[in-house]
This record gives sequence, structure tokens and C-alpha cells, in this order.
Amino acid sequence: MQLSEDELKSLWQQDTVATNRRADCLSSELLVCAGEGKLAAAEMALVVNHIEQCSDCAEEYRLAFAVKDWAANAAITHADVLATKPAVTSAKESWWQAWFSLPHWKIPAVAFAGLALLVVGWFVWRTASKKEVVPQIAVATPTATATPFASPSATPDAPVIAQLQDGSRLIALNQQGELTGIENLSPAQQRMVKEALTTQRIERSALLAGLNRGGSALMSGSDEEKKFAVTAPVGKVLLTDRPTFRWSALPNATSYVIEIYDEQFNLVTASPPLSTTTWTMPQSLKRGALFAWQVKARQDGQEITSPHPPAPQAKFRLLTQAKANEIAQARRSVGASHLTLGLLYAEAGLLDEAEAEFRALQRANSTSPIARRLLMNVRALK
Amino acid sequence: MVVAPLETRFDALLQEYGRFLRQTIIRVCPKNLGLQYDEIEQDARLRLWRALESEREIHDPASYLYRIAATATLDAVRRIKRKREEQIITDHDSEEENIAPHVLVTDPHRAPDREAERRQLVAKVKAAMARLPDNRRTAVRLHLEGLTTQEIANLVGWSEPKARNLVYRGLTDVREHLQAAGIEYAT
Repeated sequence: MQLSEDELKSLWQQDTVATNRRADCLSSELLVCAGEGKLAAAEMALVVNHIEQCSDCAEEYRLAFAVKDWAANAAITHADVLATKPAVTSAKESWWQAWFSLPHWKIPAVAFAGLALLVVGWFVWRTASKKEVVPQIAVATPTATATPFASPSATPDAPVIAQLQDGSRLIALNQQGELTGIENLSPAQQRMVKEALTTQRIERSALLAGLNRGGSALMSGSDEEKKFAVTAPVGKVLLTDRPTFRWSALPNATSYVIEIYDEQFNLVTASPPLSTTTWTMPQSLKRGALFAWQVKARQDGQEITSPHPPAPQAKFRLLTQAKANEIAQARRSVGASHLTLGLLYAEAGLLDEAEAEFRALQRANSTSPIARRLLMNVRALK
Repeated sequence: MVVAPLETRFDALLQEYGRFLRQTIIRVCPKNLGLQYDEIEQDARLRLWRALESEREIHDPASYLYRIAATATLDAVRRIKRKREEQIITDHDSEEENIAPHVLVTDPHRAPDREAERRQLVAKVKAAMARLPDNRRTAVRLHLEGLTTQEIANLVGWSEPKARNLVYRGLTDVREHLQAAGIEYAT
């Protein structure tokens, strides 16, 4: 058999055409940022990993990359033009016009006077605010083009440093650390929301410790056995205490049995012989505990197990009752706040649920870097 | 600070960057899809309006408008592709309803043995790919997706010579592995 490079490319691209109406594809904003080469390392890794397997996103990345240099030059040209023009945000621009109409020799003198005023102002402000507790929020000072937002309950004129449309709410965090647009949060939840809006990062939940698979379940055995694998739950924290187990079929298997073990490898429970590739536990498992499970298939009188060493164990953890209650309570009190629920899910290690919430948040804030980063962050944790 | 009304800021931004916005759309948009620039521009303007309406801070207007224009264009590309795929599926379904069974069986592109052969080939290529070191595998996969070495370098954060080197070495490895599997692969 002979294969040319074009045939190989065509074959590869046919095999990596996105399916499922591109539901799992990268956002166009992410691809544009990738084209500009302006993604953080974690995001970049995610994009590379996806583009390797998606010819549609690869093509769109190429479209964005093709204009990278032109766009950078055009943006610089515009910046140069702007430097000699009034800013676009102010309705009363007469002082700007006055500034630009000054003779050139006067500009340094005025600039020096302005700088001196700034220094004096800074000392006055430092003295006045020495004993005040100021929230430690690391943010860039808004530029002249920023449009401050002040809600009725927030400090007037305090610039907004983060803002998201969340359902019918407009959640905003100002530079004073005041959060508006969301009620019914406990102090701990308020801190969590503020921290997420400020750092735009989500920490990996401690509950996910010990659940990393560190490899694929398809690591060993014959070709046939490689296709026979546990699917879910694997490496997850679960909200339910009656998990549903899923696995891929083994050809000609006559029955399957699921076995669930605790952390000390004691058999907790086993299913009856099954003819399907899914099984929901009829009874509850102990909350807060870590479990490992395997599926045994009968084929031609033999027993085949997945995952089979050296593949790692398929582990999952059940959420504690207290945490499950907290999430149920939050669902009732914060209702449709995707941000709050997403953060609570992520904190609990429920990454699939968190991703769904952040995806909804990102859809409502399609151009927001905050919403995008939170979504990418939680995806990177999976 | 005195803040201009929404309309004033919107108009001022478009007066300053309107041409840049349209130029971005024209440059990003593929010419073979029959997309209307005006429609994409309208969408981009709407996105800008919404951003200003939601009091979004725009620190770097040129960069922000570039992203709005580029994302609006990519979204338009996705919409038209999806529309075409749906049309193809609908046409295909109605064709199959009308075609006699023997015609489907004799269609060489839909023949099960051809499909099986293709899948077998894909499996061998994937197996060859799986044996490559990580960097080479990434480089070759992106190359096969049609990316140039410059595009690969920008995406992965390598220099262009490094990307070129990894593609070259990776393809050499793939060729050897495919040869061992009975496939002659010529560049």
C-alpha cells in the first residue's frame, strides 16, 4: 500500500473533523487569542491539544494567525494616531484641546507641574488612609478610557475592576473590594467570589487529591481488551451517593459484574451479572469516602477485568454530606448565579458541573476575559 | 471624570476604528464561503455596543476591536459551515430515501470494505504517531492538520526552526513506522 503526504493529510483531517455540532470546540475568542500568540501557558496547552485533534479549529486558528502581523501593525498605527488626538471617552474635551494647542515648549513645564501635584496628592492620600484597611486587590488602574461603574450600594466613584453579567444580575467588584449585584452569600462565599474575580483563577480542589489517573485505562492487554474500558466515574468527585457506572463493551461478552472497593481495597459491594454497559447502584455509598471500581466481563468462559494493571485504578470520591448540603442550599439561595455555583462546584471538586456553569457564564459574557479564563482554568483542572 | 453618553462613545470608537474593524473582517474572512462582510460588521458593531452598554473597560481599543471583528468573523464562518453540513445531511437523507438499495451498495465511496480499509489505515497512522516522542508527535499532528511551521511555532511557543526540525524528524519517524506496518509513505 502506498500513501502520499497529501493523502496522509487528507486522511488525518477527515478523521479529526469536529462532530457533535462542535459543542466541544474551542471558542472563537480563544482561537483569536491563540492566533495573536497571547495565551497563558496553560491555555496554550489546551488549545494545542485540541487543535491537534480538530481540523475545524485548526483551520480557524490559521485564519486568525494569517492576520496577526497586519493587525499588530495596524493597532500600532492607530495608537500613534490616538496619541495626537483627543480621547474618545470624555464629552467635555476642551482641556484636552487646550493641552494639544499648547506651544511645544510649555508641555514639559505643564507635565512637571502635573507630576508635582500627583506626588503631593499621593502623600496627602497616604497620610489620610494610613489607618484604613484597604482590601489587597492586585489590579491594573483603569486607564482614561475606562468607564467606572458604581452601584447604589457601592462606594460612589470607586472604579469597577471586574464585572460579569450573570443571569439577570450584573455582578461587579470595585477597587474598594465591594461586591454588588449578588445577595444571599455567606461571608466565606463572598470571599470566594471576590478572590475569583480578582485573581481570575480557580485552585484545584483538595478533594481531587488521589484521583488522578496518571494515564489511560487503555494501556495494556490485547487489542480487544484495549477497547474494553471503564468510562465513568473515573477520577471524579461525585455529588450523588448512588453513582451510575459506565464502561465500553467487550465483544462477545456474556455478562459483566461491577465491583466497588474502599480505600483499603475491601470489597464494598458488587453488582449482579449484567448484560448492559451501565449500572446505577440501588443503595447509597458512604459519603466523603474514596472508592475504586472495576468491571469484570465473562467471555468464552474467561474473566477479563478492566482496568487491568499496569493501567491505574478507576477511582472516585463522594462529596461529604455537609458539602452536598451547602451546594443544595446555595442552589436555592443564589438561584441562577452561574459564577457562584461554578465556584462552589469547583471548590468541591465537581469539575464537570463547574465547567457547565462557567460555560453558561462565558456564553453570557462572550468577550469577557474573566469568564473565559475561569472556564479555561476549570477545563485545565480536569 | 465626565463620561460621555453611550452613543457618543460608540460613535467615537467607530469613527476612529471603523475602517480597522472592517479591514479586519475582510482579512480574516475566507473568500470562498460566500459570507457577507456587512452582516459580520453589523454583528461586530452589536458586540461593541453591548460591551459599552455593560460598562466594560476598554484599555486598548485597537486590540479590543480587532478581537471583536475577528471573533465575529470566525463565528460567522462556523455558522455558515454548520448550515452547509445540515443541508448536506438533509440532502443525503432524502437521497437515501429515494435511491434504490442496490445503488447504495454499489457506491464505491460508501462501500463497507473501503471504509474498513480507511479505518485500518487510520489506526496504523495513529499507532505510528503514538510511538513518537511528545514534541515530534505534536509537531506532526499539527502539520497534518495543515498548519505551517510558522503557525506551529506561534501556537506552541517554539522558534520556527525548531518547529521545522520537529516536523521533519517526526515525519521521518512516521515513515519508518508505517513502512514497518507495510505502508509505503512518500513525502
